[in-house]
Amino acid sequence: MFELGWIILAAPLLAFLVVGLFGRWFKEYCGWVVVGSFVAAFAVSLLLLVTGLQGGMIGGTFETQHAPLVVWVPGVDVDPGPNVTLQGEIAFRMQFDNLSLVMLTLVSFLAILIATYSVGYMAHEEGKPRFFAEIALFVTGMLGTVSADNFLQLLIFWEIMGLCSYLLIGFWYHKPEAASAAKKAFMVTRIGDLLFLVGVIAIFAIFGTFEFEKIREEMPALGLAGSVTPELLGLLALLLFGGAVGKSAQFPLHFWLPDAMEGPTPVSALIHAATMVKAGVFLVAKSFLFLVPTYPHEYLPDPSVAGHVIEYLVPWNAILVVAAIGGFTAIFAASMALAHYDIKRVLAYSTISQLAYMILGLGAGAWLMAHAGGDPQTAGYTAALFHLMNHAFFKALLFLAAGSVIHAVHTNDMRSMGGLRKHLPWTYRTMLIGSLALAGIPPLSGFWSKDEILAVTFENGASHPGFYLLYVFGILTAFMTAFYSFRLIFMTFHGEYRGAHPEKLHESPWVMVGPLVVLMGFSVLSGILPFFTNGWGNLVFYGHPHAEFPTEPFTHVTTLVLAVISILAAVGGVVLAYLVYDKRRIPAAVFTATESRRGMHTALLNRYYIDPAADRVGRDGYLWIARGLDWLDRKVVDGAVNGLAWLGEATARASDWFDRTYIDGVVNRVSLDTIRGSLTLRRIQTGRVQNYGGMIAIGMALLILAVFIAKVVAPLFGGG
Amino acid sequence: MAETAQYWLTLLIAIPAVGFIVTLVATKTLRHARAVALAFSLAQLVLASLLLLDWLTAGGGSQGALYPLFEAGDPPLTLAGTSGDTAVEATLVPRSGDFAYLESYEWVPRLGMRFQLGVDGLSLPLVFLTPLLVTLSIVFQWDEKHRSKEFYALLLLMGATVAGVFMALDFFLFAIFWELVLIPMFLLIGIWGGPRKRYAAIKFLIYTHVGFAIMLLSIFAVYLNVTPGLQASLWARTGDPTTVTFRPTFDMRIILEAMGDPLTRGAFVLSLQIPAFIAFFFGFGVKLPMVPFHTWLPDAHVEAPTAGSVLLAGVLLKMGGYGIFRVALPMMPDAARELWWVLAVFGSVSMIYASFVCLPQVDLKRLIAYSSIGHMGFVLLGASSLNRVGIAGGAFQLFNHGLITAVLFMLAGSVKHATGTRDIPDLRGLATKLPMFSLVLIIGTLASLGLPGLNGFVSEFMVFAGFYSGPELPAGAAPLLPWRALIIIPLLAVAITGAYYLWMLHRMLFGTFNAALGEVHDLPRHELAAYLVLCGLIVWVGLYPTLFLEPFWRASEGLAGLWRGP
Repeated sequence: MFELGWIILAAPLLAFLVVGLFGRWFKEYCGWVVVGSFVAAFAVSLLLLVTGLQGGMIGGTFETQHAPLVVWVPGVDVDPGPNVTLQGEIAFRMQFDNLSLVMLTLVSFLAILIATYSVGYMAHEEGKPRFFAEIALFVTGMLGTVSADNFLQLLIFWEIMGLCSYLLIGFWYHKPEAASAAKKAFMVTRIGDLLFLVGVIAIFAIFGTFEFEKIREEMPALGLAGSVTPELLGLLALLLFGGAVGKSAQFPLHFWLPDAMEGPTPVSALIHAATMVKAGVFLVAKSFLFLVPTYPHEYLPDPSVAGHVIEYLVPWNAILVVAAIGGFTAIFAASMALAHYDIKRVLAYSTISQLAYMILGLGAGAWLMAHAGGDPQTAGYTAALFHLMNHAFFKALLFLAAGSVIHAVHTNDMRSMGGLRKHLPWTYRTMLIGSLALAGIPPLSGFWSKDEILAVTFENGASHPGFYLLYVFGILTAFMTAFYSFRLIFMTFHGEYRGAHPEKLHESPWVMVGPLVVLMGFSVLSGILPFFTNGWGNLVFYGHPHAEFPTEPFTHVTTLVLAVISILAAVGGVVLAYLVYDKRRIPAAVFTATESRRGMHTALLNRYYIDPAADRVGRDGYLWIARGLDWLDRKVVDGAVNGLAWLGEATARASDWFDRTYIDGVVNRVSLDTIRGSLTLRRIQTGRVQNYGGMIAIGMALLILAVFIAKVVAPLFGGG
Repeated sequence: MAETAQYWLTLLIAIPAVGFIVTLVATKTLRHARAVALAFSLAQLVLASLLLLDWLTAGGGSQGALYPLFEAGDPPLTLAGTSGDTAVEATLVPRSGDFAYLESYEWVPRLGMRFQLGVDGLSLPLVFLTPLLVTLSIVFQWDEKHRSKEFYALLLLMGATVAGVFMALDFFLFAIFWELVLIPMFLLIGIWGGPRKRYAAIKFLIYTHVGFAIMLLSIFAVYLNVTPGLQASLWARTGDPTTVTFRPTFDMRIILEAMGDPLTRGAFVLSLQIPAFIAFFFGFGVKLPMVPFHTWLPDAHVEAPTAGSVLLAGVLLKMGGYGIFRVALPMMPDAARELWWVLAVFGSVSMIYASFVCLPQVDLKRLIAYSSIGHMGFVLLGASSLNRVGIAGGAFQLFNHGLITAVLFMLAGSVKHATGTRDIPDLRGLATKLPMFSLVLIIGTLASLGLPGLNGFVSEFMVFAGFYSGPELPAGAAPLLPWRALIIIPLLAVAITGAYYLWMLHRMLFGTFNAALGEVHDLPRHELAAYLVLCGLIVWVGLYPTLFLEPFWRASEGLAGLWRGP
């Protein structure tokens, strides 16, 4: 069954080729061709998922399956011996394990919905073939990323996504902002990608392979031999994390994502909310190989406890870095979402903040698991990936709904909206549900996963107090999240319409509203999915499954108390937003009332001044170095060459002159003397005498030089 | 070549050489000249492709898909010397057996010169690349009205001489072809070039000539001092106890064979290897070019006609890289083990420096020329790794860069043709008016900046992975030496490359169209045809590199084995 897996990648790739090459002859149907290919990919993914479920995915008895794709670098035909780097061939295969099957199904499903929505949203655009072809290529990249079998393959598909992101942000290439945003997105993520690349190279140098499974198999032996140390694993994990920071827009590489909102809204929903930015989280999940090294099955007497942590190899500091970046980015990005007026940018900051939750969850999860040692706890890992899925649904919903709003009012500025509830009833309903899910109000999906992440963080506080701080960050973020998401709802849908042309407001067509409704359903339901799998940790886990709800076995935490705190924070945020932006009991001016508050507000609107600083360092610094080297190249390097040429030419001219004047001159003179006799005398008398004088002078000079060398210079070197 | 005589390799040179004469002598009009030239270069291309196909299917054996038309197999070496007054001779089966197709004829036996051509995994793809780019150059510059027949004839001459360099297995022959290459390129720049063509052509000539002169000294040093001893040590392998004296020889196969085996390497002592290595490295490095001997390249490119640029960057520079893998590394392996860091430093400096200098360039062609210098740095870095993956990557980079840079220089020609200028600040918003051009430009730049999925990434990645993994030295040498972490420096070049290309795309394609450019037209059909072939190969190699990597991969086995120990 699993050998059919290639269809998942081939279908969107084929759609890309067909639409990209021939799309201009069936412009109106490009979208449907692409949707069709996604349906095919989804159908196969679902088929494989069901097969996997029947094969024991729940409970962890499912064996990882592979489908071969291509051989990249041929294998070594003779026995390579111990010093040879490459062991075996570098081949690309699709890997089907619990995580990748869930991700494949999720991504292809979201792709269907968002592509369908795009058919409506992009109906009046020129360049539909280009748009849909790039979307199809992107989905190929994303599906390839989540089903990769090794780090190199992951990197390749990862970069294909980056390319499509670049092209799609710059879809309206004639707009200067879009062009700049595209460039920025590509460049900033590429900085992270570079670290990722170094990491992949280092992995190859250390393990001689890129494959996840082989790395895991070789870990214990290499650890015993001392060629793998915690420092090295920490370095590898952090290099990979660098890639994740770029792709998932974490601090300090976060600033490309809000600008990326210049792309069409379906692009923001698909790439910059639901899928591509999740690839960074996915990569961190994959780098658990290094963060929490474990024994593979055959090293343990009892296979049921597979997943024992190799404690002496755990890179504790790297784990802390991951968790800290996650916790900090969460609150940092959420704070920026508080003040912005651009509806898409608010959602973009929210995305950064939510992704940071997942990173925090993974970091805290790695700590928990490594700390628990013999009794591995995959709660954090599970919670983060659970949040990944939930967030994919509700954030895609929010973006698409925002797109529907923009479609109606033709502006992104929430200050010119308001009262849209009446005109866009379905958009309102769906977006309200999405916001509730985002805010973390139970029983909607966001609550369950966010609460678990926070619980794991709190649990870790017992072993490292820093996690208490991260927990506080998390709670504050939850409060801010609730506030800004309802600020958005109230400013957009409640009150009176503040924009122009109220008569033109209309609800979007069914092809756009349909996906909204479906996503709304999933935003409600995905949170309770674990009830069907007997705990999400039973479906997606690292090492071994755990049948209970992940927070059950915590010892330091009463989960119920934590849940109440989360709920209070969320409700508090919603209520505050209600009082300020709907009921107007508290005037919004209160936030800018004093000097310090105004300063804070301006700093938030200016994104903490990070963008201009990054421009200064990145662009201007780079330009400065480049101009300097260019000057060096023209003036010094080439100047030296030209100078040398000039010197050579001058020498040549001088010798030529010398040759003609003296050597030839003497010869001629001698002959002329004999021939012309008396004329010679006259010549000497008429001015040639100074030439002879010159010759005498040169001779004298050489003589003096010789004496000088003999008498002065030579003794210095110990001679005569 | 086993029993039956085969002349395929000679034909590979003879076809374009004859084409050169026919085009020059027998054609009159533009239409006539280009058709004839195209026919000859296509014939060379077809032959080279068949050879590649046969080699790939032979899989190291003697019978490929085209057996018995082609017959693969490295024939035995002949060692001829004198013992006392009698001439003695022995044949020796070469250990590596890499040269799948070989032609070897007596030429000047008294001086030890042979007319010897051969191809192996290292040269075969380059031999394929040469006529490919010549053909596409002819197709691309389909309307050269100025001195048409001379123009197309010289392109064919390029094809003949460069193929000669890649196939020659006799040092004297190698040197002759190496110098012959200069003539058509000098004329192409000097006659069809831009305003500063004289300066550029002379600079090109002097630079490469100086490099060559120093290399030639080294060739003679090896010839006179080393080759007799190497032959003697190979003779010892036959088990014949007679004392035999040998004349110097230019036969590269004998040198390669002797230096490939630690037991017979002794005659070429390290103290001799080092100066020879430096001299060869200088000669090849100037050709490559590497910083700081690179300034001839931007000038030559800016002035050269499009076809000239394509061939200059596409195949001429590859001669330098080829020389390193064919001569510098395998013939002076001990010196390479001592001096690998020199290659690494020059490679890294070229990558970083050239990438930075790209950014402020105004002329698109100058930018691409500098980026070529940067990308050739990868070749040096790969060679310096002394690691199989790195060496294969460095050699593969020659092939990949040939494809990419051909596209980029063609694009520079296209944009000049379409808009009348190559100055980036004047070109704005081309995406609206020139969609096909923009698409090809995006593909070309993305391939050049090493985007995974396109061919440049494969070789660049292999270079980095190989370099970081370290040389495959015998036991005792640590595989991961700490200073290998310095790889971060050349890796920065990847980021810088991304930045200048993106900025270039940003300025050229995005935004509103510069109305001052007036009426513009998108790519004509013959240009599109050339792009289609090249972009197809770029994507193909990027997604499925095995086919074109296989030759380099097999060649790298012999090279990496040089340091692995017995």
